[in-house]
Amino acid sequence: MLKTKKSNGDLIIRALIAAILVAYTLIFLFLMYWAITTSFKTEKELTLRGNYFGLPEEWQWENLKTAASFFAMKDVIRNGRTIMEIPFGTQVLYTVLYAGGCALVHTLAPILVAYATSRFTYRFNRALEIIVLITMIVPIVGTQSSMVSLLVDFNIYDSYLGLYAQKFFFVDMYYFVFVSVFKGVSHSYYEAAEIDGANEWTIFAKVAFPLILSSAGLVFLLHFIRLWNDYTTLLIYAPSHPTIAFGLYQMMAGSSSGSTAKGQTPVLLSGCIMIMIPVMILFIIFRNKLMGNLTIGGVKE
Amino acid sequence: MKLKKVTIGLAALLVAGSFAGCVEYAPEEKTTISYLYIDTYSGGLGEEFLKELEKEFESRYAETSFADGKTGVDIVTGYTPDMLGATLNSKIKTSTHDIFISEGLYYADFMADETLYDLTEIVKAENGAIENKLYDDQKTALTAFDDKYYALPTFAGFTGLTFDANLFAENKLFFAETGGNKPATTSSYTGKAYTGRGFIEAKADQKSVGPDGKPNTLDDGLPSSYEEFFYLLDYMVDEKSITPLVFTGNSIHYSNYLFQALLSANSTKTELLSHFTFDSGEEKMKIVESFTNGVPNVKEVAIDSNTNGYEVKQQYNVYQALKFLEKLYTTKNSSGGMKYFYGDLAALSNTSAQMTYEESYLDASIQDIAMLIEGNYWYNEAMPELKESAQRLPDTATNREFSFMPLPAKEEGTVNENEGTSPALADALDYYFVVNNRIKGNTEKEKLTKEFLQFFYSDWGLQKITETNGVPMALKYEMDSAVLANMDNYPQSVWAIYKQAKDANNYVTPMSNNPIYLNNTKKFAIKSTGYFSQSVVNGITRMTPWEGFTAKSNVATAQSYFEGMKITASTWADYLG
Amino acid sequence: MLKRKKRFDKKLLAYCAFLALPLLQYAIFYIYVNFNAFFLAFSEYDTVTGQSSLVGLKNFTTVWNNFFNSAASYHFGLRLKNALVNYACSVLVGIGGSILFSYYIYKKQWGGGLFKVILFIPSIIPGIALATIYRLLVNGGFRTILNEITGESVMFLMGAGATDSTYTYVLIFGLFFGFATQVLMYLGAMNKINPSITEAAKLDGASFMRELWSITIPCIYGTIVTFLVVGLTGIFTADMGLYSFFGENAPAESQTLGYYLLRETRVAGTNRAEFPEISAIGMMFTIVVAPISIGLKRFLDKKDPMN
Repeated sequence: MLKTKKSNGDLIIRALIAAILVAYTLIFLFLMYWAITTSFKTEKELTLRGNYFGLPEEWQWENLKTAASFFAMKDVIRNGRTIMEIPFGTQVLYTVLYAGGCALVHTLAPILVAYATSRFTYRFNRALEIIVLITMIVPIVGTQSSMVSLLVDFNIYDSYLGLYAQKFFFVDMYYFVFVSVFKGVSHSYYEAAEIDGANEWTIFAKVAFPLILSSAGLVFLLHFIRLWNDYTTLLIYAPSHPTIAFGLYQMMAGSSSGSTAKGQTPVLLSGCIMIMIPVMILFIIFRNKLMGNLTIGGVKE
Repeated sequence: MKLKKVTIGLAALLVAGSFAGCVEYAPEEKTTISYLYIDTYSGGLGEEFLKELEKEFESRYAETSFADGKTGVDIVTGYTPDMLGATLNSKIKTSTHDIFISEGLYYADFMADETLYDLTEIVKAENGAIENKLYDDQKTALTAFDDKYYALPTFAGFTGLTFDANLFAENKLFFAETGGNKPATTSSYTGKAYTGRGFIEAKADQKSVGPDGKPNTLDDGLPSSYEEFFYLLDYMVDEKSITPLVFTGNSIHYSNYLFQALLSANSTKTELLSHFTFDSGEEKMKIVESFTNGVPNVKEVAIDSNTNGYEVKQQYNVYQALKFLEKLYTTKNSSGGMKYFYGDLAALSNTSAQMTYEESYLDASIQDIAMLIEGNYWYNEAMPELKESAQRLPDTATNREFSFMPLPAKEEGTVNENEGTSPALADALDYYFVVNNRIKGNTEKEKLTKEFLQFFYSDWGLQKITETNGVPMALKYEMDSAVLANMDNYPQSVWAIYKQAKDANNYVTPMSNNPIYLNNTKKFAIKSTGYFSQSVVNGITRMTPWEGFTAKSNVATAQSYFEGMKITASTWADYLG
Repeated sequence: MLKRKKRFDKKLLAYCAFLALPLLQYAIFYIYVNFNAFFLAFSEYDTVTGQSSLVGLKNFTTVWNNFFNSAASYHFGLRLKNALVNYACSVLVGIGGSILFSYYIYKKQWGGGLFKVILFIPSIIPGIALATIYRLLVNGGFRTILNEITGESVMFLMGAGATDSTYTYVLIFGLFFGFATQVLMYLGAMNKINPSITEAAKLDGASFMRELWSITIPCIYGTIVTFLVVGLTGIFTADMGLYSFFGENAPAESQTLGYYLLRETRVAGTNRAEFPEISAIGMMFTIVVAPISIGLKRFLDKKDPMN
């Protein structure tokens, strides 16, 4: 095997890219260092004593608690009874309900359609294909108001039913992933199950679904993380079901009056850190899957 | 495999969650007692006031039956930070709460869906016990829809400057009635020889009469003209090493609080109200027609909503206030920073601005700060911080001498005794009381609501609220002098300002029954983040004069900002339809 | 024969059953919503009377006037300019940088594995958290240092107090943290390149950059086109994280068309009077962006070097 010739120019370019990436890494790590240390400071040491970059004078663990309480739509405790309260815990739950539920339906819808089109051959499949392509290619902008009015008319505005219904949308780039997975399934599996007397739902649940579980899991996870981080959808369609990202947004921007009572730097940063932890854990567990090879568009061999 | 487990786990959590998630909307009710659910916006005004009312109401009605088999009442209160008017509008239909007390509530926006309960009968009951406490303009505006009341005013949330009277006295920053110390001969505001008063030379010197021209009032010794105001600012910075102003740089729109306060100070009631009624009746207003070489050409006309209503935006008062702000924001110090402001504004949230202001006097390492731009609720909001300081430094930090600051109306010179104006005072928070129409037909709730409203708006209720959070209610009532004397210095000053406006019938609730206003509340309401202070300068929309004057490119001047606020005749014609 | 037919029906039934819900959802939440938006754009709602009525092109003229005829035209221009600058930078720096970085990682150069992780992490950190951290650092400590270096007393670098510099910092933020998705996609595409082609190139003595230019880029052309086309829609929809930075109060000079649209929608809430104008804006944007993106895609597909 011949060793590849490496010119000086080549080396310089590679060194340059490496240098940029090292700088990138350092900046990113510094940002994280700053966010973490500052989140444990007091507002006084930061604002009045100008301790911007040093370690905290004293580690303020209660900042985390304060941030959690600021995320909340405030404690309403009376005679030991809590009512109409959206505390941090409930917000976490809302986050799971929103991110989990929406990710689930948003993964399920394309699976159903992809399965139907690959399991059965009807002419309508071609129509579906065209629908998907057109919907994906033609960008339609600014229909949110129309969506809000629809949800209000159906009485599902600001509800999980409304959110789930909206997200049960099958047109998605992962639709093609599922189609290709199902297309790869030999029809003999289905036929064998048919002979065993299984009905179509059983075939789907017992034969087809297990085959795509791994891809479905990954798609679910990707949706989940994206939705965990999303708050703008809720701002528009479900303002009273705040997730923790929404809580952080409220803390950051204040409400529409712009009140930033909760905007003190260390506590805000505690909020940021808290909301980051779960996704970082997910990342650590699934890093290889998450950073695995995803492809869209044409891939040439 | 890990993925599979997590997916299943999450699904299980989801199912469990959807049950748990319902809990907070379905409070467990006992069948032997009546319930009333009240939600309030949890901001600077806090929650204590409602807790006080709750306690008293429950004990007063402990033996009363509002429905068969039930005795007494349990008030359940909620405090939601985001329960502002706009959010409430979308939530009210599904909300389990009966009563809402909220900020930024433009009740006209609620009218389309019939979500608000008709309060007319309650307001007029007992010979109009509640109605008699309303100002005439409030009555007109509130009954815009079918002559019925659907909302009632609550807090008089006026905004502006707070000053530290102790710091002023120690540094002899008050103006003297006669003579006094005049450290400079020229005025930085007029650029000409200074024509205002001098500062007191000893703490005991007699202070000037202030902008209102009356001795022994809250504004004694305070600047009575813009010229004096800037003279004071320069004196603070140049001679005393005091930082004049601080506010939250995180939310620049708080600077609009000062704009609103300047307008309140230099406008008559009709002028101020005309921003919402587009009508000045018989009163002629000073309107800027055009500018010649930077000098405004002023005409005096009456404003009629059907013809020239759009001219309200071109009142000379507005231009005058803008000139003040332009000077305030653009004057630089030797290192190129803003001369009159705390240097680290960007890092301050509104509570850290309050903290910085309050600590500056106590902490020797921070330069003293004389004034804070905030709403009159700030003292209540900063209470935990104030208490903490008082505990740490009982001698210097107990019941600090903060005071709401009346602002000058005059541009140059000074105000002598009996020459002062009687300024208007406008609320800027749009705080209202509304009732969920869901209770309609539910006699238990209707009875309860009626009792609670009458209780809330009774003299006792109104006083208790003011006593608790230090902010007056925008209605006609008095404070018991003993109660008042027990309140801290700052809330006392806030009450004094309110009382002055109330007694002179100069208090303005920023609303009207004009259809153009009702159809476009978002555009005309006096919200600090809203269109009220907005201007288009060189095609760029500025939400605050601050942004306009401090921009590096497309910088606004008082004139261009003022001109950019203009509503054109053709736009108005569109509104008229 | 009879049996066969029955089975056939069963299959059709199953087919319909699988498709029913997704298609119903599609019909309501995509087709109806779009038609409703269309209808809204031509109507008006009166708060006082609670009546809706058709008003022809009125909303469009209002929007058009706001954009082009009044003093605010500059404002529209600015939002468009900001959006275009963002697109241009994301093409140059975003796509360019991503290709270089992923190529570096793909070629298994020094530290590639670590860099891949570091480049990826920002994409899973909540944007609101990342934006908040960045803004607080820029306006706080970073500003202090900058003032010390330049000797100036700048009070704000981002936000309503910093009308001029905000956009720059927002742009830097977006570019800096925007590599993740693209890097992954390009890497995925690169890893699918047949090793025999690269081996052959190696034997021919092709340099590091030469291989990138002549083999790798043509092979991942389809993926690049996708990003170019998707980014185009972003001109009308991308808020560049402005909402995460400033909520509803982003300074005028930093706004983009996407931010404007999002903000208007959010501020309107459920206020029906506000829907028509927003829908009209959306429709006008769609009329512009839809043909351009389809055209660009067709054009670029024709230029595919591998065809």
